[in-house]
Amino acid sequence: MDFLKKSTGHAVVLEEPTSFETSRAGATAVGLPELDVARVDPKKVFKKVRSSKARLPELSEPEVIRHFTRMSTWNYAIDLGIYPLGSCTMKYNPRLNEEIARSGELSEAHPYDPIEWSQGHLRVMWELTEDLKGVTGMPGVSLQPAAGAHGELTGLMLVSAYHKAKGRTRKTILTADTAHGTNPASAALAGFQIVQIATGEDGVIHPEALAAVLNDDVAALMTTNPNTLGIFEKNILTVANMLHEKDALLYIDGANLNAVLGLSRPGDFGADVIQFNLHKTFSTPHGGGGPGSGPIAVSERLLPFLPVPRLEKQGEKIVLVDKAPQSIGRVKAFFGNYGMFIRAWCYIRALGGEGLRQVSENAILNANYMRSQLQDVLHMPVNAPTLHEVVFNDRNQREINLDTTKMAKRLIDYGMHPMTVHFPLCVKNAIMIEPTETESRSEMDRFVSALKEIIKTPDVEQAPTRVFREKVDETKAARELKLTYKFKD
Amino acid sequence: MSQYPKELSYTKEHEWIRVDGSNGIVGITAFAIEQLGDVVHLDLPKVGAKFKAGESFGTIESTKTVSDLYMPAAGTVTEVNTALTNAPEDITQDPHGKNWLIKVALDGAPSNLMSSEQYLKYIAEAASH
Amino acid sequence: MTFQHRFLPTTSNDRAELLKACGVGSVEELLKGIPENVRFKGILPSGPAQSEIEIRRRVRTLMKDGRYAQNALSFIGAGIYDHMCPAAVNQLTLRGEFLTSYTPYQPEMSQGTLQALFEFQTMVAELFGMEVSNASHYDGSTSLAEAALMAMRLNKDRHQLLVSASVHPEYVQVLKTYLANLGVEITYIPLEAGTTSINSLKSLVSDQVLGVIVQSPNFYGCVEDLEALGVVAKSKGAMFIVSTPETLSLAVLPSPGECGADIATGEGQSFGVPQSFGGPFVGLFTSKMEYVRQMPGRLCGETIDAQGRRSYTLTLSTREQHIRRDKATSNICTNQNLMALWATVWLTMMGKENFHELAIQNLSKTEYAKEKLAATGKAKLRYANQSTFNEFVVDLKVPAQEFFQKAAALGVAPGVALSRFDETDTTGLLVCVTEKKTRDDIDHLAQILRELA
Repeated sequence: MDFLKKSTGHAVVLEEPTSFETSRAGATAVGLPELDVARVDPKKVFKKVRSSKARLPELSEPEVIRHFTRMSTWNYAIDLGIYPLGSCTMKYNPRLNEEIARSGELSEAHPYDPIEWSQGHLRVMWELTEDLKGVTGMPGVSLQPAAGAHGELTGLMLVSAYHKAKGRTRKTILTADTAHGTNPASAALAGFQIVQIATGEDGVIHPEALAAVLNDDVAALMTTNPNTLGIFEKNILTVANMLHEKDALLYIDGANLNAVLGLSRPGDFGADVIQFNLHKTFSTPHGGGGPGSGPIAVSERLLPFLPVPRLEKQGEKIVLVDKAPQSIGRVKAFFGNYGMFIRAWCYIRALGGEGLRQVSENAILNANYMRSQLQDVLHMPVNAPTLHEVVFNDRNQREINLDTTKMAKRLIDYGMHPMTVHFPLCVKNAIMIEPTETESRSEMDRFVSALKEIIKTPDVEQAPTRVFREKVDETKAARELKLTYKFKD
Repeated sequence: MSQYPKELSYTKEHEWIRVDGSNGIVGITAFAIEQLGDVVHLDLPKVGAKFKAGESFGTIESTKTVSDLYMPAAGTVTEVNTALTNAPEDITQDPHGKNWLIKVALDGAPSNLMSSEQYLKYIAEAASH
Repeated sequence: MTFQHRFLPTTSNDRAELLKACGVGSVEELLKGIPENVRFKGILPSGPAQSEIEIRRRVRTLMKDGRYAQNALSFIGAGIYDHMCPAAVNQLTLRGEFLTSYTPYQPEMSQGTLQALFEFQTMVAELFGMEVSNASHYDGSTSLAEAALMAMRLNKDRHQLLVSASVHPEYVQVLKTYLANLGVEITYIPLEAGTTSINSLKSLVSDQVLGVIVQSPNFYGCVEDLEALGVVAKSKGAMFIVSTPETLSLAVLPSPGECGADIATGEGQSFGVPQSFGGPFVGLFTSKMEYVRQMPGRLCGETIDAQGRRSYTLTLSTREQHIRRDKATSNICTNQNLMALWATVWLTMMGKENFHELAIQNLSKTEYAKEKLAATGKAKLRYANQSTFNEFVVDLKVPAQEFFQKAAALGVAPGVALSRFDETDTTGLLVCVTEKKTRDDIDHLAQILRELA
């Protein structure tokens, strides 16, 4: 266990109760300016007022700073080390993007400001739209959806509108068994039913499998490309043609777009709609689970149905147009997660067209390096060319009684975030590794050494133990639901 | 293999039914419970609800998953095991006896069910995959 | 060989070694999985790579006519509210451990995010007077749409939804889009003098109605009588759904929970979240414990670790898409965690007394502004008999959009011309006054009104 000793130090980590427990009546962390107009008593204005003040914590400014800073030290983050979650694309988040997005110029603008004041923001949106058209080779973009799953829902609503406009209702969405869980959930929310297609032994969709389920009720096929096995769907062009012959559409889940920037454009392989995850591919921070941003790009077929408002140029001026008779309408108030657009816009400017391709090339190189270093110890259920991520399972470890979950939990003791496990569902006990282009060789080696040492020492029972909190009892959490702090008074 | 009582009939979805004339008692099998892991919640229908054979009458939730519960035979719910819904974790003890799920008034004699022998063979095959 | 970019740690030496380890001579060999006929050989049209200096310069140029650069004065609200935000909030949310972590699926490495979520859920539930809050949604509009979907699940056999005509028009548009393919019919409850007509609700509600949606303070700033509306809604078994875009109002107005809401949603932007040209914000979603298994989105729960120490974890995830797939309560995955943290830090800093005091300042300044604007003789309060929190409608003697344009040229956004939402409403101006406006600012608006309207 030498490497374990070497790889994790002893951090200063302090306990911190909830703010409700440390709260002391009378303390405050803000000062308000003196009220410069006559004070109005709510009881005199409203028929009824709130029965008692909300029990928010009372702490001074230094106490608030310590409260949250202490809590922050209990988190792992990309800023600390490799975060190889497959299909999540945990890459470095450039700091200029934060500085700009949080500056007054950007953060204080209101979407209902006079249009003359908003030209800069609309210009950013316009340019990002053009960037995304370039990446996909597709003619239409809407920036409105708030996250990847929201983009999926929006895309599927467009699919529904497309068929409705042709005077028919189609109820089926085909998904591959490599699909993300959001795909069937989004399809159900858009009013569709799911039929699943099994991928072949080589991990991709085969025309014969599609032919077996393709009929006049199929509205679209939804698949990720490259798929969640990190494999490019080599039959995608045939698949697209087969769908289009039936006037069904091809939905590409863009979760794995980081593999193909400047290398392959969804528009060129027949995609009708794709959602972007700006928080994956274009490096807007994950923030512990959002905010994301999930713009969509569409083919000619779906242009009339894009959400409103839409950006339009009137001479040099950019305006927002609300009227579009065939549009599905709005999917979010205002214009989308603009703060994420500016971050993605900065990221794309920083890299440029050629740099974006470099990103994908390096992401692919890193994933292949991980494959080369681990394939002698871990089993690869599907042996095909690896792009940005590589999927193994625990078959080689079964005889030493080490499974995927245990390997993942033990990695935590080495000061590393585990890879994605038990996904994609088509691989039992999957181990899915996506290093991304922003990991150095030495950081990848650190991960590989840790995993190899775990495999050499399968008998360690308890893990993780070298952390702020050891194995968390999730069953107790679900059985004895405690979702809020119970106030004493 | 007394674990799977001979007097019960079984479904492919791992429910069992104990038929007594025109009444039945429905539960889920020990095998299913083992597969589910720690059970945290049961969602069962109200007394009086009617179901067809094969229709979902509720869900069983573990920390890992939620599974639908399917009717082994058509009928109307006459009683729900509220002792169990209040303490769903107890289902691991005696799932084929006192920890039944619902009692039903059957619409007719159940059909297309497995005997305990057939069920044992069925789950042995499922486990080998 | 290509240029060395600042975001990429792999140098050309590293690259050679990595390629060697992979057993190939070039990256091109690793791309053989992409069929030749779908390979892109051009260069993406995003221009050359730019340095930080160049990007900063470009942003400054682009934003030169913006609100900030010209130090403009604004009375625009309409769903996004310009509230104060202490410096510490921005600083704390910049900590890399919060900013650059993933969704807390590995609780042992995410206790910071999880405890913050637990505190968030506690504060949001407390403010709404409800039993359960989720860990956030995209924004107020999508929260409301998800509330309607939840009501559909709880009232499976009903297909009609009643929506007050005073709900934010963009929220209503989102609701319509969400429900377009789901077989639900939306009927609007008309207004009477600025608030939802209770008599109309009485005649519209029936045992076919799955839910009743109202907003308070409503889009026109008027405070609704939630309690009375809730009684009527629930008399026929409909879910009573309350939307609160201006959540600072919860400091002084009766909470949705006190008024009998079954589901209460809102927008957490009011908790110091930057306006950012419309997002990212933080959708709030609360309900009753008995409906918790039908709630959408993530939930954080308290538990213990292997040593018996208090810990937190995401829980009831069996409702969610990654487990239940097409039967999930929602398709939501990524939510608005960092903005939920923002709101949590802000609420913690405000604390019990100053949160209340801040609301009093909004109320007081708004009452002052109503009086001042009316006194100009150029504006008339449209709903003079209704109580408002920090927003109100005035009718101008000139077209509101015209006045808006003229004022904008002087660096003042006087409110939102209601013609933006309803072409026939040419005179209405929706004015919002938060604690950030001084008495002088308000007097200045009155002066401009006197001169231009």
